[in-house]
Amino acid sequence: MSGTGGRTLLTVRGLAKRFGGLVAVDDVDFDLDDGEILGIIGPNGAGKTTTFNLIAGALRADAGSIRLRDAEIAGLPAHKVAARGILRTFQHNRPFKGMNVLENLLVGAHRRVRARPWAAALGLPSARREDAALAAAARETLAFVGLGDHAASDVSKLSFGQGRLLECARALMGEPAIILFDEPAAGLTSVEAERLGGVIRGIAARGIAVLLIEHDMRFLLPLAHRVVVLDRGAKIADGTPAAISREPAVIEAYLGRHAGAAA
Amino acid sequence: MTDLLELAVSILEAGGIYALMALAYLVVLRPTGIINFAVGEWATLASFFSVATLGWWNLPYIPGAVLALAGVAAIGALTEQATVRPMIERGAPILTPILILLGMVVVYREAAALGFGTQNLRVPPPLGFGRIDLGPIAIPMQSAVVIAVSGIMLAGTWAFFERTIWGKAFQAVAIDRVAAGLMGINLRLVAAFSFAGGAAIAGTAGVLQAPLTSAHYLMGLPLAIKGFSALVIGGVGRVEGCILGGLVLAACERLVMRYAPIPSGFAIGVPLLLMILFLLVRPTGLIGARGRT
Amino acid sequence: MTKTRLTRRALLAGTAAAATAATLKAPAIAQNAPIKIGVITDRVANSAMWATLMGEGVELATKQVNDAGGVLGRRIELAWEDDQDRPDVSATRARKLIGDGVVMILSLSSSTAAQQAQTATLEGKVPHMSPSHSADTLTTRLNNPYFFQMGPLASFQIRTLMAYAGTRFRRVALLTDNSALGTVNATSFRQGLQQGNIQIVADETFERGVTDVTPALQRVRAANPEGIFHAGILGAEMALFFRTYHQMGLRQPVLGSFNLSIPTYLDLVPGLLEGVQFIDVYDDVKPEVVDFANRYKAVHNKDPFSLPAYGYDGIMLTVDALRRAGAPDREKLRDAMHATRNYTAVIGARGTTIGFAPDRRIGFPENGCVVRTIANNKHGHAVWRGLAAS
Repeated sequence: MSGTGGRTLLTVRGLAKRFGGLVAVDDVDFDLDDGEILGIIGPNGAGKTTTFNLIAGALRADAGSIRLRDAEIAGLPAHKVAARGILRTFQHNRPFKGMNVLENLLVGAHRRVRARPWAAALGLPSARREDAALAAAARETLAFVGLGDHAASDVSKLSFGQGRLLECARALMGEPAIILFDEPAAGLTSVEAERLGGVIRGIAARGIAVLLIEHDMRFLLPLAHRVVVLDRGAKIADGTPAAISREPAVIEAYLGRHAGAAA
Repeated sequence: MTDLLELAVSILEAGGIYALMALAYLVVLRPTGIINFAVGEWATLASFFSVATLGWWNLPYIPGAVLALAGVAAIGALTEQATVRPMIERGAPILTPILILLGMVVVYREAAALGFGTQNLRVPPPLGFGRIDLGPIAIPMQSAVVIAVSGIMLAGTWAFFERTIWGKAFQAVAIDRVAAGLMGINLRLVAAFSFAGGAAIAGTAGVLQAPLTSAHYLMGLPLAIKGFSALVIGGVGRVEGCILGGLVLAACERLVMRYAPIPSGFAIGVPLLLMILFLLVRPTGLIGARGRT
Repeated sequence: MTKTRLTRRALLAGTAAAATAATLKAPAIAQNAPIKIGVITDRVANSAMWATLMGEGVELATKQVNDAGGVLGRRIELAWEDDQDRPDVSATRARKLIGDGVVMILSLSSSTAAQQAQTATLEGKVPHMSPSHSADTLTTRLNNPYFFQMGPLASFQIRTLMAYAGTRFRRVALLTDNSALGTVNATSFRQGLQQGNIQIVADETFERGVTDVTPALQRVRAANPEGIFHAGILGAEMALFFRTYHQMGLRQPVLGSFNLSIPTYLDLVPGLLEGVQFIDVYDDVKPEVVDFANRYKAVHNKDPFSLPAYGYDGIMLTVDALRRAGAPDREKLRDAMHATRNYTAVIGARGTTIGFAPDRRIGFPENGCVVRTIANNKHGHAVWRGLAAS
């Protein structure tokens, strides 16, 4: 079930989560390959955000397995999942206020820093070299997302759309294997959304897998390689955007209510 | 005037010590949110360790002093792991570690008294007690050492926070702990390192101060109070605030003590009074923290 | 706290075991229960340094008495309590000791703690003594007929200093620190100087924990006194004062309180105390002092000074009173204490003695202080015991 021909990166099997009597995620399976853009859609309450949080380690699954390559990561706490290379952006932009754009990216690069804090504190040459290399990488990333002119800007000066791009760039700095996007197009103008779509394609082209929750079909359907559809916690379809948009179950559960929005 | 020049040296020296103590609070407070009143006792322990390394074992100054600081840094890290971390991980409110550390003040002090006795012990200075003649005044050698070392340490800490990625990571934890954690920053390492760093900084203040006065088990509390006052005046935010707060507090004390036409018994209370008045006017202190308006 | 008491109990158990083993040779002891003397000390708070040193004298005297057969055919057993120099705790500890059956309580922590403990000893009708406290009001603020003050009052210090040096100066600086005892001393010094018609041209207080004393000494320098009287008692601040005094090139003679009799300063600021003169109660040529010094040195391997002597005398005076009382009974002991006359202690100038009277529970004689000088970084012999000669 590969969308790009890349290797299977993430394997989710039998994922389940309940909150008291409510079944939020019900026996969900899917795969994600290197460089694949996978969309997760469904009506409100379908379990999209919960699935996201289970993969990111913010919630603990009641059942099921999440394997990153060959390693089981279900049950790991969020910072450990991040350490394994699954990074997320925030639905409401969450930059570090008081730092400028470049500094925010450098924090994102933190995972890559090999030198220990005391080496940095003492100003050892190895630490300094590394910091300089990462600063160069940060500038490159900023150029890639289109914020190249804003390196020294304070983050409070960025527009909402630019803030989104910053989230992307910051996640990229961590050299992730997978980036999770939670409704990235929300609140963007169509110009900004197009720009963001281009960036996400660029990210996938670099071999990084992308998992995105999205409501805006005009943004998602042209972008995703594959789409997983959830309804009331269960997966009801899994395939290319064209294929799933023809599935009766999907049309009934979701697209039927937004017939005019289908691309 | 000779007096003013001498006072300037005195203000820089005392300001340096106070700034270091304020910084010791800051490096723990910002990433973890914990006000650690045990910083004074860390200064005490480092002074006693230097009695051992420099006095009993007769090591040359730099290795001896560094060893003393490493010792107290280790104690700082151990304290975090043994007493603070379990509370944080059980989701205790932030007041709990603060109270635990207040209890540690007593533990540290009793340990120092039991381990080193209750008498004042001599700490050797690095460069003796001579004077550097500079025209109209002579600067005591130890004063010069205090000013130089505290300046270097403050500048170095500033550079760590502003110029290294680890420093940025610490700031990120201070600004938005949850986001930082979700980005993969090892919050445990940051907490342990901030305690170790805070201990080393407070320890430096102790080792710098002790040759002039002595190492004794009660020296911690006044240093902790002065440091906290400097921290609050400076704005509880950045290294620059610590420096400014320390200098302002020292200047207040020295100038009032020297020139105010009041008995010196009252002059002792004036700086704290001024701090209270100052905070009524400007509660956030002199310099704002990053991530806050 | 529990830690402290457990350690003390372990020590006590060990001492008791050793003492028992040693005294098995002396047949006079055996059957009778030991006489308990309570000692309230401070192990870790503000007065710990002084209390610990006095405690050495207490232990030395107790061992000496027990080795020689005890008193009234019985061993002395010390009951230690730590009041952490807190007055309320001191009173509580005193009550506990009273409940444990002690015949005498010695207060080694601060005078404020001893003052508060008196409320317990008055109520419990138990003899109570301050071996070293110099506060003027310990025997007057509370009319406690069971309480005795063996040490010299602060006012005796300044009287002796004034008699010795008063004519040398017309204008002086008075220095002290903001500790409780430093403040008390300073008040007493101030009164004495004013009575001697000496002008105080600079009156400076050092704050506990002060990092440098330059501004205060600048004021002193600007006032240009002829001499400097230092009434302070805090070690670190005293050391800092001497360093700064020399740094600033000040030359006025320095005269100090009892506090300078503590040898620690000779280690802390070696060579910076030459020519300093201070009040002491330790007259090292007195035969009793020589004997005490030998005993102390045999155990501690260093020379004693006033503080251990206070503790030693505290026990020895109690033992002397017990003998005269004839029985380890609290009322009889109190009467015997009141009846103490011409007791030659370790403390006090040669030729002076300690004694109480029905209307006077201050034991130390007004002429019992000596003046000593520091030379070659050592405490010299008494250079003046003039009041004793009069």
